[in-house]
Amino acid sequence: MRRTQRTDGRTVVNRLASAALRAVVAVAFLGVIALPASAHGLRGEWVLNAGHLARTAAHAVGIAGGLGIAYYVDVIRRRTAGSTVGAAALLTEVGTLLFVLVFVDMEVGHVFGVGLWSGVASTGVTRLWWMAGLAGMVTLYMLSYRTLVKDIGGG
Amino acid sequence: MGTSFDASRLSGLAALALTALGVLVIVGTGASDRGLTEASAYLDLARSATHLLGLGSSVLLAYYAVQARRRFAGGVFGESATATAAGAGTFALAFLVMELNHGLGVDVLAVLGDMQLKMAVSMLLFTGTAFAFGWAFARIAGVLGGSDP
Repeated sequence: MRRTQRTDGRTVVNRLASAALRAVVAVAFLGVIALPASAHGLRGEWVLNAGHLARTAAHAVGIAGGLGIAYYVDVIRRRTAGSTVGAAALLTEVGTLLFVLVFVDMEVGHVFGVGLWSGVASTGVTRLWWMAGLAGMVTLYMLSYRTLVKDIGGG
Repeated sequence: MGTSFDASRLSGLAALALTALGVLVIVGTGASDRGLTEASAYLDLARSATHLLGLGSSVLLAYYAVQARRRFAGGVFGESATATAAGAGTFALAFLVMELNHGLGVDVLAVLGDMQLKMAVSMLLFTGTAFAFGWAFARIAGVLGGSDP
């Protein structure tokens, strides 16, 4: 009974933390969208039309969803540290954070015209970094899944 | 059982090899003047190599998922494997579309017209990968010891 109560308490705290995290993401994104609208110096290629809105929406869904997944996986990693699941969770977490980083860089570049590599490298290098980040993500996912499948007998 | 597993493994490796070969051919045929867009040839090769890494990893991920799905059909692992295979598929599709455009100048998404919409579709495919894998991992972790936060 005591264990159940403790688990319930932890669940409530975790859900509150998850909701707070999502709220932070939502506010951060509102800021990313609102800043260029105030014509504050830096401006990218963003203009108000269906294509740019769709691209920004796709990035927003990816970033918010990716952060949600990373949070979820982090909870699992901490609970299963030292086990196969914990090792797989670490790979998944790193892969998902890499995905979020690439998507943030893409959207900041889209809206503000600046990115992690702007000023020190060409657009080609930036595109290469995006592709490398996404390829790294799926490679980490593959290694994570391989770790789990080997443990449960999937060959 | 052993024979069918070996056959599956061989077919998976064959798919991986074919994918790698296809990308190499795309780069090889595109090296003249068809589709390659970067200012530096090294950047072009690096970008194609990155696409190759992504395609290879996603095909391998799908291969592991199909193996697991066959062994655990009907259970939680089977559902997880299906989601993983779907996520790997969306990633491979996105990278293939990109490399076709980069290497051969073949624009599969031309019907969408607007460049921004095309990019949004690619982004949604990557997002689909992350969501599918996150869900699949959570299902397995729920059984093996992790639980829903």
